[in-house]
Amino acid sequence: MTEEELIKGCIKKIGNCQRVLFEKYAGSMMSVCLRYTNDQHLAQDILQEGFVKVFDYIHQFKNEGSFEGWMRRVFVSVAIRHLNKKKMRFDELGENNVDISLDDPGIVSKISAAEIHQLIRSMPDGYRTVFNLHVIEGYTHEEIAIMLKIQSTTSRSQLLKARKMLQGLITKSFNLIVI
Amino acid sequence: MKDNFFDKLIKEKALDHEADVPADAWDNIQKNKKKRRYAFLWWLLPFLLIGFSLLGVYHFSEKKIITASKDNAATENNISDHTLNKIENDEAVNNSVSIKDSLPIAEDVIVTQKNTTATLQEYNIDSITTSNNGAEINADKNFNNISAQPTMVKKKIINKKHTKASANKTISNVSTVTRINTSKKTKPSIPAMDSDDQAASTPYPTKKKKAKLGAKQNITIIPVDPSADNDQINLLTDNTVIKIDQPITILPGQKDSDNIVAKNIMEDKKTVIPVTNEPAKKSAKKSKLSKYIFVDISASPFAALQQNEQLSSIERTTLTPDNKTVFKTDKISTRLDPSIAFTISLRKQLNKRLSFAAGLQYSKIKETIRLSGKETNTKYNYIKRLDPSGSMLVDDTVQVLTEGIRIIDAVNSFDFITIPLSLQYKLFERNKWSMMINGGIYLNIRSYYKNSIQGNLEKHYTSNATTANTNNKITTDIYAGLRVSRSLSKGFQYFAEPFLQYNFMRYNMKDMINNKNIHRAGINIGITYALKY
Repeated sequence: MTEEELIKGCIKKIGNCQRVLFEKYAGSMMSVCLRYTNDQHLAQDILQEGFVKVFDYIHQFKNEGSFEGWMRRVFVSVAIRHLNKKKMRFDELGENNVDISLDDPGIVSKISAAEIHQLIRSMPDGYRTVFNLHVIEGYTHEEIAIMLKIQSTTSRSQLLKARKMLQGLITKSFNLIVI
Repeated sequence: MKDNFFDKLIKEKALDHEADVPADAWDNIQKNKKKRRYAFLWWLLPFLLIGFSLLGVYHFSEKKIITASKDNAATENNISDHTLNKIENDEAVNNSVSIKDSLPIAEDVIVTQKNTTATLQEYNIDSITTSNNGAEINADKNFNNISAQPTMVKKKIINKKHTKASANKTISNVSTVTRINTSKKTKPSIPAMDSDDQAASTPYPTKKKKAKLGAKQNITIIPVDPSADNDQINLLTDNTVIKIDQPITILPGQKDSDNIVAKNIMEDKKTVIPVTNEPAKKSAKKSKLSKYIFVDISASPFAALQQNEQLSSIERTTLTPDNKTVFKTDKISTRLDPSIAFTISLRKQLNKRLSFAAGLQYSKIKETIRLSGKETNTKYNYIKRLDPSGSMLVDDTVQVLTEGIRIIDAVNSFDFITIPLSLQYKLFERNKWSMMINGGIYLNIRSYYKNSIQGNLEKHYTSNATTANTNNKITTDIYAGLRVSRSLSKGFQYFAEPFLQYNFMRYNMKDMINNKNIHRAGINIGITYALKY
């Protein structure tokens, strides 16, 4: 079954098509959910709500761009709504935690996707969310500001700090692996 | 490492990752879907409870009134009996027969007079005064030399419950006994809907969408004076447009001063148009809003609350060639039954919060009426009698008076065709839920009253109020409601709206039993569909 047929089946609310769609994308969408929250249960809730939303609004997908990208945006919006409910804090961490810079690009390519995923998850909520939205999803700081109800300057500073922190974490992680 | 490169590597890695999915995730989604399918029922439940409670309170309070009126009717019978005796004594009628003793329970005796062909349930609880065995009866002034002849007529009195009661009496009045019960069933016809939850469901824009949005945010300056110098576009430097004959588009991020066209300034007329991004955003939003029109279809169960004009009495006179019946009552009880209105309306959003709606509504209200009063029937019997000499028969007329209590139960109806005109103001919108206040004018272009009680009813109001010449009237109501709506998929929403409809133009149609204002309290339940055009 092609993706187009799958989508048409889901629009018609055919149970089998929905199941196939779920099985096809559940893993990557769970990864998205886990990137936005540290809480496993909350991530599962976001996953479920996200899929219900996808099934409800799949008719709005206009075949412009990838379906996976559209799905991811749905999941991100659900995740952000949950995070907004949680009242995220955008505290600035001390410089001590972020003073390690990453100079060798080869280090990143050597780390597995799961490790990167885990390192992103280990960042504080504010850093992680802004980093995810800007670097991975491609939203601008202005858009992030609207989504998270913060100042765009806060978003910028959070991103800088997040990037530095992640670089530091990767360096530490790489060193540990090497050792 | 450069930030961009780092970001790119991280993005690739992150997007490649797939996490383990909990085993019960699919089952939970299935359960969640089922829950959502029936969620609206739970949501409707409190509104239905409130609605039914209101109807219940109203209904039972009205029942009390009916019971009270029944009691009144029973009391009325006793009063009638006494009155009857008085009449008998006053007129000194020999051997006058009152069948009151034979009437077991007044409510069980159903007698409809021959000449009364009302299509409603009538009870003639009665005692009949008559003459017998040559007694002289009330002579009509128009007839001379009236001497009564014995007239033997049988009158049946049907007693359904009490069979022991004597049912036959020999009296001098011609009546047939029937029971006509017409309870007409009315069929309400005509069916009836709010807005966009797409914002909630629409994901945040991607780069492609952003590009689209960017295109939509082009700023357009509308021509100021098209009459002068066509094809010449004049714009000045920072914040002033002098004369513009055709739209100028400034792309986002582009300063108006950078526009080459803008530099060709011809300062003829000084009309200042501030060039900012704000109007552009507004117009973009406006154009987005203007693409939709919402169709609301709703059914509104409501309790009709009446405010009657004070009546002193009602009189009905029925004339036939040999009969005259006068019914007079001051015991009038009317009750409006709960009903349902069906509405279809179109709603146009004026801005983010405000929208205007117009439509068509049909409703029918049944009015249950009980009139309890004294009826006097005068029957003229044409007879032959011997002239004083005893040699020949001459024509003569005998007048027979019958008096009693008549209770008239009837179900009348009001038919309304209404044009609802209203403004809605959105109080808030969160996720799929929104709440708005709704207020406006309901123009009843047809308010038709159908009276099933036959005969001409003459009403006497304490305030000397008048009635209209027709059974149709145009009236106006004020409407206020609070709408709570929730979006479904594919542009559908469902809503519930408790409302109050206040009638400030009194209904006084020709055949109405009692002039009144009819107010409504109920709940609008319906669906909204967003139509794109």
